[in-house]
Amino acid sequence: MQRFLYIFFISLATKIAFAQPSNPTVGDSLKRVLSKQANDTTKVLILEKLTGFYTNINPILALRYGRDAWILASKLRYDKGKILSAISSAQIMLGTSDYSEALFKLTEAKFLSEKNNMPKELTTINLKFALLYTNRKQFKTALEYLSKAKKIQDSLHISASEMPLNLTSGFVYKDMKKNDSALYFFKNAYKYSLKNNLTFQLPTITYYIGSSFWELKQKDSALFYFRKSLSLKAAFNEGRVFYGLASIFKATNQTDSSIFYAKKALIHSHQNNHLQTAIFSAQLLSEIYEKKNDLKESLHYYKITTADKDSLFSQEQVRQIERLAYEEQERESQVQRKVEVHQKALESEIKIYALLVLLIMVLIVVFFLYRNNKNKHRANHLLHIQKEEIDTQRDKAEKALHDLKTTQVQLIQSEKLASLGELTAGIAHEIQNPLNFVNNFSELSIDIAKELKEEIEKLEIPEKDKVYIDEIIGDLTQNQEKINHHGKRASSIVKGMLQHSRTSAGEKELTDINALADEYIRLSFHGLRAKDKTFNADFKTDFDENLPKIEVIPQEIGRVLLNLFNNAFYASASLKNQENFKPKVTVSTRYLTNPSPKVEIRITDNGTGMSSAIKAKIFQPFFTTKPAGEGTGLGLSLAYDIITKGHGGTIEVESTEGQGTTFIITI
Amino acid sequence: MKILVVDDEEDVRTLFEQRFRREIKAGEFDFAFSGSGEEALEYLKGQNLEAILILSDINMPGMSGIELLKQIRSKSPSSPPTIMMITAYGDVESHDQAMNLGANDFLTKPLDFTELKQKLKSSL
Repeated sequence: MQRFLYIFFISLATKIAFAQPSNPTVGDSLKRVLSKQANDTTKVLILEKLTGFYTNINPILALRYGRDAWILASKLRYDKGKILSAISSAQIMLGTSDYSEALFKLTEAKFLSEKNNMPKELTTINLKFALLYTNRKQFKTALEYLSKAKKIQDSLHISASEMPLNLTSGFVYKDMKKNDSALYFFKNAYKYSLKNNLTFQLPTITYYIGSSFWELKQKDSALFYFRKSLSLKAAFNEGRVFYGLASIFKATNQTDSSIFYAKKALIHSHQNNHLQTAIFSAQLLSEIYEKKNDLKESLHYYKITTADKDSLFSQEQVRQIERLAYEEQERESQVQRKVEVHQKALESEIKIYALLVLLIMVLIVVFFLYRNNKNKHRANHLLHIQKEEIDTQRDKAEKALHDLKTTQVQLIQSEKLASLGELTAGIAHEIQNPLNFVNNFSELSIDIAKELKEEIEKLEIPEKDKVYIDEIIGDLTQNQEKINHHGKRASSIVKGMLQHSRTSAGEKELTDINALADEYIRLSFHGLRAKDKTFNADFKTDFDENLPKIEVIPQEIGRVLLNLFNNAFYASASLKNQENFKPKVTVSTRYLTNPSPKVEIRITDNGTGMSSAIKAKIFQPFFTTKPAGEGTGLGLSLAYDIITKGHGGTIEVESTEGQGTTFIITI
Repeated sequence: MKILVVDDEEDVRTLFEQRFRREIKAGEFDFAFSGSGEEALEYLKGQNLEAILILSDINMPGMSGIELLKQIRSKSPSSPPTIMMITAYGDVESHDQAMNLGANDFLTKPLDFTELKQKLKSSL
């Protein structure tokens, strides 16, 4: 019974919440204005007002106005009109328990309000949501919507929503059976309404205050507020207030009063088509009459109860179907929400995967960058090495070029020398024959002059003439001797020249260069000593003991060494007059293994040395620094030929003017 | 004994005649002169080769001394005649060649007449 009563109050609550005054003239005047109004935003607002006006009186008509308002606002793209009509329609749907439609309308209104930033409307929408979820017994969600509404109100100081907020809070807490809290909010709403002269809400508020007091068993306070509610003359409200009074009096065993108010409740309820209140009232009367043993009256009200129940049942049945449909829809929407949640989760998952992919790509890019960087470093390092290599190669190439140039110069030089050698040899050969005659005839002439002198001795001529003739013969003899001397000198030059072209008679054989050098330095020294008794010099040998024997023509190499030693002794001896100077010639040998096995012979003197100009010419034939007659200028030229042509070796000279000279032979 | 001097140089005759004037006058040496190999061969025809000593230059236009030697030795592989070859200084190749072809001796220019005189005396 208690539960039934509760459902009844809630049902009423939804119907009357924020009820507009139901003065019929208001409705008529609104309709008149509407008929003259063009299809504009004002017409939308008028339609919305009509919706509100008929909410309690004729919900079907109200819904029609609401629908018209929505269509026109949509056509005009008038969002505010759409929001207001949606809120009004949702209110009606809450009254008729058409929750799915109400939910749809409120959701749409919420979307538009948020889109257009309309906080006042959003507060109202949140309150309607709170009512919706309270009716569905989803109190937690209902309280959340209350909280949202309050937050918006607090942040924006929308005083207009203070009353509806309090009233809705009262409904929610009352439905939760938290009557103390409900009473608090209802009283707030009551004070606010009084203060702001919102009289149209007072019958409802006072009823709920009375009802809450009665739930808390505060009979006097309940009676006080019920009576206050009745005094406000709100027809739609009277049925339930009378029933409330009847209930109080029945509980306090004031049977007559209870019957009186119950009958009034029944009449008003029927008048306002409040079947639930009518059923409760008829039931209450049937019970009281049954107690009083007035079975006839009891049966009468029982029948009314049954009839009203049938009527209500059919209505309830319709609502039940709607509710089922709504629940199905809600289930679907839950499924949809789950799908959305799932989709969101999926999207999140995709995002995470995308992020992961991105991260991996970034890592790959970083890796590649790192690798590239490393490669670059490596390449740089390689380049550096290559550069060094190139530098080294360039240095080598430069050195090779230098060597090539030197070799070229040497080649040209040797070619020059070779062709000069061949030329001179050719010339020499041709010169030799006449020269032979010069020598032979001069010698012969000397002999003939001698014979002539002997023959004249035999003649008997004056002594004076003899002396004169002797003198003439002496001169002739002397001249022939001079001719012979210079002829021999020329002949020795020719001999030297011929040695260039002469094919070597000797054959190559394994020769101990150390022994050869030792032999020839001694030969040279003693040869010079024999020619010039005053000649004196030191000589030193520094031989490599590991020097292998090599294939050379020993006579040829001996001739070269003899020539070089003679020159060395000559150069060092030329400074013998200097103080504390000791002429010295050194011969040393060395075995070279790099780049190819070779024997090196160095002949060093501490003599006069040479200028670079002289150094450049010393291997040319006939070039000599010795006084005329002392050298033919063919010794070094011949040495050069023997070493380079005959043995494929090299002969070089290092010399510093005033310090000495070193000849270096490599074979 | 006849000494045939073969040389393309005209002055060789003068040189020999003056140098060995005394020996020629004394009938010690009897010189004949040919200016070429061909001339020498012509001279030798009908001569008693055993009584001839040939003193030939090697380097001559036309028939060289070596060719002359070859031809003489081809007719009489073993002596006579005695053949002495004269060549320029240090011509080792010609020396070897001449000795191999059957020359009896070898002299180099410029001639050392003292040495030549001794050799001629010992060969005659």
